[in-house]
Amino acid sequence: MEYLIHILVISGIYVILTMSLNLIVGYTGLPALGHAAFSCIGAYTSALLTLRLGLSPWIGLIAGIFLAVITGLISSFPALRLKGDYLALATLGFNVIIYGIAKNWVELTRGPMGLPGIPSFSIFGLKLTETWQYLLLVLFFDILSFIFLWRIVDSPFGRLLKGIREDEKAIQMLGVNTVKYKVMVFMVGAGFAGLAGVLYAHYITFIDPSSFTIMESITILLMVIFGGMANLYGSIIGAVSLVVLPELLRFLGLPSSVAAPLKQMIYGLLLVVLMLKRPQGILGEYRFK
Amino acid sequence: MGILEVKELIKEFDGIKALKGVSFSIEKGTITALIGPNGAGKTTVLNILSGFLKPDEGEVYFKGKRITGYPLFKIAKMGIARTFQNTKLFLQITVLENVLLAMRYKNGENLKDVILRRREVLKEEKLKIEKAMEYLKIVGLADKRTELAGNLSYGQRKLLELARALATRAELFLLDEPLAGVFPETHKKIMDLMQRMKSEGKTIVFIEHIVGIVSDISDRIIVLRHGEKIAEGKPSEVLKDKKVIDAYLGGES
Repeated sequence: MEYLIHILVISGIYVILTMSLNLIVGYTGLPALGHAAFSCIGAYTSALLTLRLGLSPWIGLIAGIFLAVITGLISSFPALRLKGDYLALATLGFNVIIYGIAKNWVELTRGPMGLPGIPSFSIFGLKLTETWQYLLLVLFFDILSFIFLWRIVDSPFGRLLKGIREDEKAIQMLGVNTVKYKVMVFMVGAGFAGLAGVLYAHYITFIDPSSFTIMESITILLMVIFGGMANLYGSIIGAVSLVVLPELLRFLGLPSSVAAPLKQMIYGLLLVVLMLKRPQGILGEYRFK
Repeated sequence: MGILEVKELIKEFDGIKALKGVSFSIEKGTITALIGPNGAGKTTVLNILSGFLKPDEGEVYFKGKRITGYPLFKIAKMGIARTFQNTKLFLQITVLENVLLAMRYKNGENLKDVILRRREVLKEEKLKIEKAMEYLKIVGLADKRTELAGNLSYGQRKLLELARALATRAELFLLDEPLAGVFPETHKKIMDLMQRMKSEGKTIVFIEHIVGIVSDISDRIIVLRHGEKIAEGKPSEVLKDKKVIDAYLGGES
């Protein structure tokens, strides 16, 4: 039971990552491949503030989101001069930089040794020590994120984003400064990724750079594509199923040295089958051009 | 001084001079036809005026302000709308949404309002839909509002693009062959619409090939050939001009 709830907590964190990346990739059509970098910023910010300065995780949460948004803003300047494949490569490079900083700035982050003993969240003095309590917290943030993102995409603002995706020149011709919107989308997406990072750090209570690699960013992108581009419900399905499916392998009784690489292969296989049979994803309305 | 002043535009593509110093002036509330044989540089002129291309040399003034080299969205915001020979619509969304995208929102495009003041945004959206429907009625596409733009016929796409241009509430409309390839009844619709826009004080510059149509509707004609202006004036005068007759009937010489 404990294990099942744990899987749900992890799924819940991925739901936030996937929905927010869908805003950037699915709705606005910007192929961003560095989402894990923003959650890295959120996780480390909150972990360091609580560990080194003894601040409350709630302050860490706000600071983590804030810094992730700022990072999103900074990364969008060089990134948004680029299009298509080049933008994908630039965001990938950005992920490598952030990962490199987390790994090599040993004085601050303890590098590959990671940061252990990150305190849990507490609500009204009640420390969230049980997994199910944490699940409620994550669910709360899932719902909040969903409402927030739903209001963005289901609005004239969201329509503009789809317009940018369909034909950026045409939308500029109607008097829209598309750069402004792309920067905003990057900032919002980064903020939610930061939130997910904070939730992860205080749940696992230990973080190290290996949780925020490019492979992680690619996994989130797979969840977006799997569930369906430009569909928030799809992102929920994509995130939950790609967390749960590999876990089922455990019940086959495989040793972990086999199970881990097998998980990557299953991701790959699923994607190949999906692209052949249903390129728009399970609930998607739009496919990669 | 006219609403649009074009001075000595020069544009080269891979060593070929598409425009060799074209100048003209457009008065507010007039319809001007840009004519000339293929490769004369007509579309290049529209591309420069609307900001799709930057000229190598020369300047464009709109309402007395120099707009050369301005980004597309700024030129659009100042009040210049443009349509394309083969239309440039959002094909994956509905007819109504295509028009709505041309309308700028006060709350609905503001990130903060979208999240925190959804009720206002929905109210604004309702008003915009009513307004958008008016534009669709003008071009006769009101009953197609829920259709995907990609499902429209060629003529209907041209009409939708006009409705979208109208919805930007621009003052100057640059229309690239608005009449080419459409059925006669659509033809008449578009010409009536252009007259109506003129009577509302809008300014139109359009590209056309068929001389008969041009003389019916335009106040002035500008004739381009090989990237140079060879004639300009009232239709009755210009179409009698020997240089113009040569350009059309004498072929390439």
